[in-house]
Amino acid sequence: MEKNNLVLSDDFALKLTTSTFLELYRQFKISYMDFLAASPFYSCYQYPKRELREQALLKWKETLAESNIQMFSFTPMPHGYPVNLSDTNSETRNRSLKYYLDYMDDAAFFNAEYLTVHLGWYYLEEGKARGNAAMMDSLFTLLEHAEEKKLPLLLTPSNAEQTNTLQNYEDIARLFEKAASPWLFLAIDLNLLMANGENPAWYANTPEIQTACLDIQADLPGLDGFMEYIIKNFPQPLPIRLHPIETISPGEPEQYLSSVQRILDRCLQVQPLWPNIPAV
Amino acid sequence: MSTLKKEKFAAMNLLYSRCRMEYFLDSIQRMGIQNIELWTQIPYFCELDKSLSDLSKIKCQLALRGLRLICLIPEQCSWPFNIASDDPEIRRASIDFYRRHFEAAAALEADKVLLTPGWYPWDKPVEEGLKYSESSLRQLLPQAKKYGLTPVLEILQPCESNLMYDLAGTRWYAEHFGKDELSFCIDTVPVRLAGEELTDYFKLLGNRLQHIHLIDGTPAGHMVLGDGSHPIREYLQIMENYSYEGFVTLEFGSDIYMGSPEVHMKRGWNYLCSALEGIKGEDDWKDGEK
Repeated sequence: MEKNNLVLSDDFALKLTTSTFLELYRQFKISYMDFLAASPFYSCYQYPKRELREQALLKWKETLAESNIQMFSFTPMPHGYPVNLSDTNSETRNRSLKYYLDYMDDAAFFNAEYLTVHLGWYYLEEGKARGNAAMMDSLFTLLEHAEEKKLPLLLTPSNAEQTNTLQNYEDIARLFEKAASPWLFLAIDLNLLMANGENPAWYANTPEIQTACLDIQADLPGLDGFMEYIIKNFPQPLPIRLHPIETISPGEPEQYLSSVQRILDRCLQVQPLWPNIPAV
Repeated sequence: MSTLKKEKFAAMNLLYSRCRMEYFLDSIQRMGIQNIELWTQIPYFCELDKSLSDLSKIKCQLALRGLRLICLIPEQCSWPFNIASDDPEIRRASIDFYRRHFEAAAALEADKVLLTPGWYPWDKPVEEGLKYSESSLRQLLPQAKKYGLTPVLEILQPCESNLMYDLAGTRWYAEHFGKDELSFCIDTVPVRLAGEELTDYFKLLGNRLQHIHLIDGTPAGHMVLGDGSHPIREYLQIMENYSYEGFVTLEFGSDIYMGSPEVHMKRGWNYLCSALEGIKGEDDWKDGEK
């Protein structure tokens, strides 16, 4: 199978059947997946009993192997779930930690390269400093376990609603400096970086920040712009974790699939194919 | 004179997602808003955390501020619950989830509880999903009534539900459930996304339309009134024309506002109050004007 540096997130496929979206991976010969641990694919809330969970994990492992798909990142559902690693309420924070630690075992089972971590948010009236302190507590606990399991963490900043603790280069640089761990990596969110008007060279020139991939959320019109930006600003090869965006009505599922296919088609045409990319 | 008064309007905590309960309630009280609709998400209410599911504490917080809970929303769109799932275990867990929230809503003395129809895989026949949704609702609705609650089924955006996102989908549910079984919540964003009018829903549902989510947008976006392209004043006039007696909740929620929720809730509330002054009651129309 042809390798490329594209990691396709399955988050576009939450409302599709598994067979349909796996067919897209096969059709476009995409061998790396960002697996979203969310219902109905796989969510800890669906499988309260460990036995059922293990059966589901095994089934997924077999299915992905049949499709020749490797797991680049295992991503516990962040948006909208009752999980906040930066919560000053210790009950919520401890439950959120357990959420991630349980998923760490699952990610290891899949031989995922990374476990994606969203660090959550602080409450406005409590202030960023308190939220950050809670966040760092959670991160250090996760890093201890990451080292035990030899599973690197992939930090993913997101929009301000989701991750207001980690919104710009300064936040990220400070965090990496404090964490000082070889098990912590960054997924540069290009949508956020470009919205902030930041210079990608800042990240490359900060040795504490270990960048593992680029995250882009793109529809068809936006794709070329992202790829030009990547080619111009990221001379070193990096996997690109793509989250296709499309907003066609569910009354037109075939059009939805076609539009995602067009995004993938275009992405494979214009993405930089760096020679000798690091083994993923 | 118009019968549509600001006492029939409520604020939702969605905009205050990055604040705690006390801050939200204090903010609403400061603005003179009397009613709230509570969306159950951390840090407001979460059955998974004992510290966030103390119902007597929440009731006390509301009472101390003279606030009324008009509707409870068990989180349904992003959490892993789906009453229309083809997985019987997900359906069972979803029904149990909502039943536990009926109990909470009743304990908090809410009038209504909001339900959504669920969703079905887009590449499978939607008729199957409708059947599962109907079956789950048939189990849930009597339970809601048992708790003294009025269940209202909300129309959603197409990306949230492929079962009820326009007039046709709403009609399907209205025809499959009796007037005494199921009432409806209409949200202005899905109506606008479908290219339809609020009037269409009043004509279809009559007094089964018992709850409204009033939001602006372009056309989506959960935007503050006045920030989008929706005809807000027209919506209010339609509610007046149809003698709408239910509550109307301001469901602002775009992440562009979350850094300063009170500033934006206040803008929306002031827009509403100003718009209400221009609404014409039955007696206000001159001959031939209506």
